[in-house]
Amino acid sequence: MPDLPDPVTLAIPAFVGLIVLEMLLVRATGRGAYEPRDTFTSLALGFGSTVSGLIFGGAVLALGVWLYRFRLFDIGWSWWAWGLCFVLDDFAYYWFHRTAHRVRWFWASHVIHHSSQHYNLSTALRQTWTGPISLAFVFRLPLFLAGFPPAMILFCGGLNLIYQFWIHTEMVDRLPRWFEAVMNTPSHHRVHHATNPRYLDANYAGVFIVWDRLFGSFVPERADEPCRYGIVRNLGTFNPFVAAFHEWIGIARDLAHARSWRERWGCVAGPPGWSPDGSRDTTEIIRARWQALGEPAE
Amino acid sequence: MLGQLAILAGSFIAIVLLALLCRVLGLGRVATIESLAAAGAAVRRHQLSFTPAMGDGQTAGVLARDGKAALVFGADGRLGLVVALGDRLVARVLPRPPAVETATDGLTLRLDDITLPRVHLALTAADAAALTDRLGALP
Ligand SMILES: [Zn+2]
Ligand SMILES: [Zn+2]
Repeated sequence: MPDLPDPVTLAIPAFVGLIVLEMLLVRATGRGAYEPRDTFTSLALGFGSTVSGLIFGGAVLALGVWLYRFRLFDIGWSWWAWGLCFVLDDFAYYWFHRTAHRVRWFWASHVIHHSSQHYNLSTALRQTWTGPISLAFVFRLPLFLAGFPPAMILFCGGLNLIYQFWIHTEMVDRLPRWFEAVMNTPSHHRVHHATNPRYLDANYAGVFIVWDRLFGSFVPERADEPCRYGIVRNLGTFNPFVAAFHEWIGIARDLAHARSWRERWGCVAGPPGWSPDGSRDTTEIIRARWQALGEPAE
Repeated sequence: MLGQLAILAGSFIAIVLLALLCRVLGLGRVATIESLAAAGAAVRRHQLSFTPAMGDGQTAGVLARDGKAALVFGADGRLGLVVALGDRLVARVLPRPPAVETATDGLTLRLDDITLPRVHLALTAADAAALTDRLGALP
């Protein structure tokens, strides 16, 4: 089995260089936005995510390697296996990501990535600390069982993450039509980070936007409705620990107040914003209210 | 192991330098809330079910003297809150009136919300007293 490097670690200098370039462009053009404390929080969360990966990554990999012993096929290292692995890994990412927005347990971990009201390259590095705790890796396990070499799966996952870096920008408007049709782009992912009722819970793609088009979650960006970034209840602090853990604390508090197993299930496995008495807002409630007003653009 | 530690240390230095560069470039203007009408609009953008109350044709509420926070009364009796955070605004519709403490130059609102536990409202002593009375009279 070849000893592959971690592509994300190799890409860090490029991440830093591109962030500097984007800051200079924001300064020169007035387009896009950076805020020093927001940037620091995003990067600190990325740093913490790396530490979390070092702590938990080994256990996750060990589970994958163990499952690989029961693999269905011996796929090996041919060129087509690389291509297939990359596409299937992206397919698994799509379903992980869709679940991460629709089930509060997974959202509690993923919300970190959405917790900034800014959308720039530093936001891309705002990554979760609690992914392994939320069991996010289960979505990737079928690839090990199918028989893709574990190192190949991890490498493809790293490439997927690197691809997603550059799309976190307001500097790029629209790309050629064929590219926007197949690939995830800055325009598509801006919609994913937006909280406008029209844009909520859309464009879950990692690399290929075709999954959203296939499974009905694609929403195009509109020129007459700029994206408002962040989460439905934006954080009132730049504290990275609050960003990392607030939704987990919310789940714990709701569990403590739950009066039945139906309520306990709802506040863990229901959609974000679910509450027993409907006093909080889910995407469905927000969108219904907006539709009742005639779907105004913001 | 040593290699990983070097990467972590290098990353941390890069983070601090990037945040400093962001500041040196003067990015991120500080947000201020221009008017109570703007505050009301921000709360409504946050939650479409909120309609600001109008008193004498104006949005009813209190705007901090420094434009950093505002409390907006809703037509249905709820309270809306807007706070400047960096160059952006953060809004809430409060489920119940906040606990209020007198501060040196206004009031401190305490909320049952770990993502926004405290809000400072810069007010004159007279405005602070009037708002405290008004909040105390809410159900
Ligand atoms: Zn997401
Ligand atoms: Zn993103």
